[in-house]
Amino acid sequence: MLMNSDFVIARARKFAERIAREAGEDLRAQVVLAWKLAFAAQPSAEEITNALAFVEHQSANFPEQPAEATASFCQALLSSNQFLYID
Amino acid sequence: MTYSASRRHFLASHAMSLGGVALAYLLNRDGALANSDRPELNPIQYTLEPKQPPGPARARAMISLWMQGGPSHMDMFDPKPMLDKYAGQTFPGDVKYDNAAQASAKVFPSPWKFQPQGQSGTELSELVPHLAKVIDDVCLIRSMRTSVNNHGQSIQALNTGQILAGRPVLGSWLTYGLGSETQELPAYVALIDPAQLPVMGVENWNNGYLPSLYQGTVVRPQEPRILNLTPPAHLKGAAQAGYLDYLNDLNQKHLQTRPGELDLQARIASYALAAKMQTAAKEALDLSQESATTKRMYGFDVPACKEFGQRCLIARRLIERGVRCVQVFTENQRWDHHNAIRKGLPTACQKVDQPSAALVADLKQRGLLDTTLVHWGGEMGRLPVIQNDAGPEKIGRDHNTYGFSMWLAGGGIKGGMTFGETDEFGHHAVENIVNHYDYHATLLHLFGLDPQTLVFKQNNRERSLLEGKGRVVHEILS
Repeated sequence: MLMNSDFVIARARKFAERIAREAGEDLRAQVVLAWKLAFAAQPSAEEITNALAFVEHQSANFPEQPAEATASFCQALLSSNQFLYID
Repeated sequence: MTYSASRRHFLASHAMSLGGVALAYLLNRDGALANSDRPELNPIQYTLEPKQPPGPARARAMISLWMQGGPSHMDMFDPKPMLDKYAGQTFPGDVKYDNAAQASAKVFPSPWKFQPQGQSGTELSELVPHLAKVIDDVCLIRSMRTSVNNHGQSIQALNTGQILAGRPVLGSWLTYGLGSETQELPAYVALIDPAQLPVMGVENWNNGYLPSLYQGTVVRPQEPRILNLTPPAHLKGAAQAGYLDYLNDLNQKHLQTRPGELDLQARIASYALAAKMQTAAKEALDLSQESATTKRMYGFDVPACKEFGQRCLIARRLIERGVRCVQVFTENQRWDHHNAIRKGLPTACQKVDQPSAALVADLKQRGLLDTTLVHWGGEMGRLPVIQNDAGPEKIGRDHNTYGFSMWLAGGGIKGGMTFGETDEFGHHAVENIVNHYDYHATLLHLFGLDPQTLVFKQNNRERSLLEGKGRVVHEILS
């Protein structure tokens, strides 16, 4: 299961480190960069809003480790059908 | 890239355009237009919700013990005194060989003794002493036939109805037709052997042209039987729930622009299932909950059969929790005794005999046998003549798909009976022949499914398991 796999979780954390490093502190810029890297597409306004809402929601679950919230977002991208399936 | 229309939308819309009208007119004039089947304009949502079968059902679940390779019927289930009479002499007739290079026509009597067993007096060989104890709950069919003399093709015949590749297997048809009684475990489970996959590998639980949702789910043959079942501590609970909601949202939006993509639907469903399996599967696969008596019954204290016993017990636990179909496989060619049958066949029997019989007895004592159909069999039997005539320890028997044995128990099957006969030498089924499609017709009948309506439309053609063949073998129903 991609959900609980140590490997996928480790990749998601690395992915989160990269977007923080390359996009800076702005969460919106991080989300957009992650989306582009994963899907080779510009996210729509709605997709950005949903993504930011999700990261914020996850932040509440990781009060001590804020990086885990963006890692969780990155894991969702890596586990999504859009990432895993070629059209 | 996003697609706003599927291929069938494109075709449907063009069917109503001017070109389509003109074509329809021309075809109609020529009488070539098929009746008015219309394409499905809305993507069909397939689910595993339980469905009521159209007919009365005797069976609710199935456990199939797959003896891949071809157990030798005349050494286990089908005594042939004529083989003793003709021992070492030339077989009086034609033999259909698979391995011509090692073929001989010398008649090979069974090295093992047969005796009547149970109230029914069914004759069984000394190789299956445990089966003997439950024989009064078993229907032994001695007239199976597929007539296609190799493993892969005969497996396809018994598993999918025809020798062609790419068709759905029985478990896929059952879950397509009936859904599942549990939404927390896979509807259809394949329990593979730790040594190897059977011949045909993953084809043995393939959904073929049915939606991917109905494919069998493999459970690993050793611990951990399901990988990554436990979430890391920081991702448990609310964090995981939030993650799954967001992922589902992403996947649903992705699916909306790709209507009717069954693989995407199946993957979304398998994600939802995986979340529930974190607790349900752990519980179902936990054999420590079973009593010492039960474990002993399945042979946990016998090294030769412990492993197979574990999988038989898991099969019972899955069925108890609402799983529709479980297959328990022996490994690649375990029963394919071309050579050294004197050594190989007893070993194979020791592996499965006690657990298989325990499964029947255990289901019965729990009141589950009435509604659970147990199948035991492989894709072929063996020939009455010697293969590899190189000394008593080296000889074996070649393939025989023209007449062989398998047994069924429970789920509306009459116990304590034998059905059908092979000829005096055990080569061909000659009386009350049960072809693979007759077995399938009987199976559907037991589950209350109608072969006329259990169909799947593929390329606007209705496909089915039987494709019009098969007779329900009413003689073996209770």
